[in-house]
Amino acid sequence: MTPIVRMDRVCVVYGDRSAVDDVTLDVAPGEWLTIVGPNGAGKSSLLRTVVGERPTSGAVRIDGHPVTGLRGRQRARLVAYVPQNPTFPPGMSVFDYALLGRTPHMGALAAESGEDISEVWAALDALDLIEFAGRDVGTLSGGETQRVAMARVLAQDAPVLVLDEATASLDVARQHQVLELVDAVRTHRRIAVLTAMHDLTAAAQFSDRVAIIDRGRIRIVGAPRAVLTQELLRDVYEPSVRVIDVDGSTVIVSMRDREHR
Amino acid sequence: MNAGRPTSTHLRWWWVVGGVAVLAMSVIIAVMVGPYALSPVAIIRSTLGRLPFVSLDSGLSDQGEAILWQIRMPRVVLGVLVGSMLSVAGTAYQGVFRNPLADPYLLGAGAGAGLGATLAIAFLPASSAWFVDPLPLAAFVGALGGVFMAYVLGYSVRSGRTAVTLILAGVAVAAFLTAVQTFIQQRQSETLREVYGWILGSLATAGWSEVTLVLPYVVVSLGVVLAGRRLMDVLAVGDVEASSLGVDPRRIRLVLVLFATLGTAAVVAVSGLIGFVGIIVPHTVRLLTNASYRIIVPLSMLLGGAFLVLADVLARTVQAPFEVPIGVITAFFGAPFFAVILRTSKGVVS
Repeated sequence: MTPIVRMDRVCVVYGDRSAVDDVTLDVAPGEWLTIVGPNGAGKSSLLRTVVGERPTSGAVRIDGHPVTGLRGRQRARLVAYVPQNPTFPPGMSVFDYALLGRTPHMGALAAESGEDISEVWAALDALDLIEFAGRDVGTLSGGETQRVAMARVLAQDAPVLVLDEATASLDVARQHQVLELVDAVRTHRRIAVLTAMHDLTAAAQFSDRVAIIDRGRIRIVGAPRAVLTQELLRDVYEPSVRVIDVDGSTVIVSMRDREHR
Repeated sequence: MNAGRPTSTHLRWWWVVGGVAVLAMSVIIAVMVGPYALSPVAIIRSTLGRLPFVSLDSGLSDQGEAILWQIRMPRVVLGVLVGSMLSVAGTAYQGVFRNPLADPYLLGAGAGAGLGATLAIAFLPASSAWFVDPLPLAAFVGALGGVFMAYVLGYSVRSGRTAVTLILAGVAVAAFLTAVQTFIQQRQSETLREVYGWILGSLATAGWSEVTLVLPYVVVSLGVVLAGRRLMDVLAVGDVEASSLGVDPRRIRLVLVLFATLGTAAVVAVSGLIGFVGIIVPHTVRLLTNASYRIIVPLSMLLGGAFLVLADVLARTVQAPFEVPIGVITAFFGAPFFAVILRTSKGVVS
């Protein structure tokens, strides 16, 4: 299958510090690829090149188009982005917030069309948010806001979704709910999902493939079970990492030394 | 399939109709009130009689016609233009800087206009010696110059440059220009009263020539901000997310600030610094409707015109035959209202 995202020998250099070093990665339509790695390994820098930041060298192509050659609106029709803490402007209604996702489909100064309106209703319907349409986004609970953010992504109707640590600030149950939601959105529309994540267990459970990035370089990429091995993780993170099998699922934790317990 | 559902999002036609009705009523009231009483029926008949192909006798004497069309009407029309422009410019500034306290004078337009006017009053000979009245021109140039300086200063910051940097640059520029203006004003104390009167704002000098002077600026500026109102909703989620939605936040900000400032400079030039309109009107609309700029901008335009026209009625009646500066009226009602907004708002948008 032709990849929808193609990162080709991408390098990002800040001053004299190399953040991303010669990364080549593909993401297929409908695939979930997670990038894991220690803090400062280059995950966010790499993701930003997919959202349109110009790499120092190399190229990112989306659906065959070089990202940096696209106009803002064209790019936004191909890639949706959810940051770690999305902004929910107080006073804005859920409907209006989801309507923001239609921005790249409207003329720069045009008003929303009937089609935009029905796309937003369809997105709200898919996430069971119809009765929330008139609610102020400032009054929603944490879980509800994540659903509203996903409604905006659905309304944007882009084939690629980039999530930068979008669940890092959530508790363990809520994180699971949000990732299930992303998975539902992905299967609903065959959206390719590209995420950076710290939670290795979640990465193992939700991703089709996992890439480990360390000091800007991809160490390995492949199926979670093949990539998230104790040996490799101990090398990338630290020797305390344990990979445990629980009822056929991979659980990855950091354990304290015996003498400290 | 979803046609009947409430969305609380569209610019509903009855809001526009309501806004137009409030504006029309304010205009009629403002034209009626004054030492020479004009009846609403006569005003409407005389207005319709001026339309092409309509022959209608207003029943007014020649004197009544003259008062209506040469004195009251230009002043009211100018009030509508100034009020609409200041309200919409305030809305634009609030949206662009994601700051509910922003007003059209935020980036130095007010201080620049004040300095320009002070220089004109203090150092230029009486207006009759000039082909055009130099006071509005000086105020106009000063307003644009103030904002230009704020932009140059704001954009000369190299690291961590954000919308906040620009606001801070505006604060610095405004403080500096106000200091210069106060210094000149103190040195030329015989002009104190005139400068002071100008700064507080007035529509007293209004004639059709002032209306035609500001009309093109106001129409273009209102048009641009109205067209960009949906993009102000996009800016509300912050620059990073706005860019991911395909919008260039810096360019939108520049265009909206440019036109809001151009319109503000034009109306300041003919009416002085009328405060608070740009803050209280958009916030009232927010409280009445919701937070989408798709609704706030057009309604602010209609209600801003109505508000200023009614404020002007008070300005010329409470101490008749003397006039209270209109800035005093808007601030007298605006400041307490603003305090209520501060107490009830959900906090400054971060």
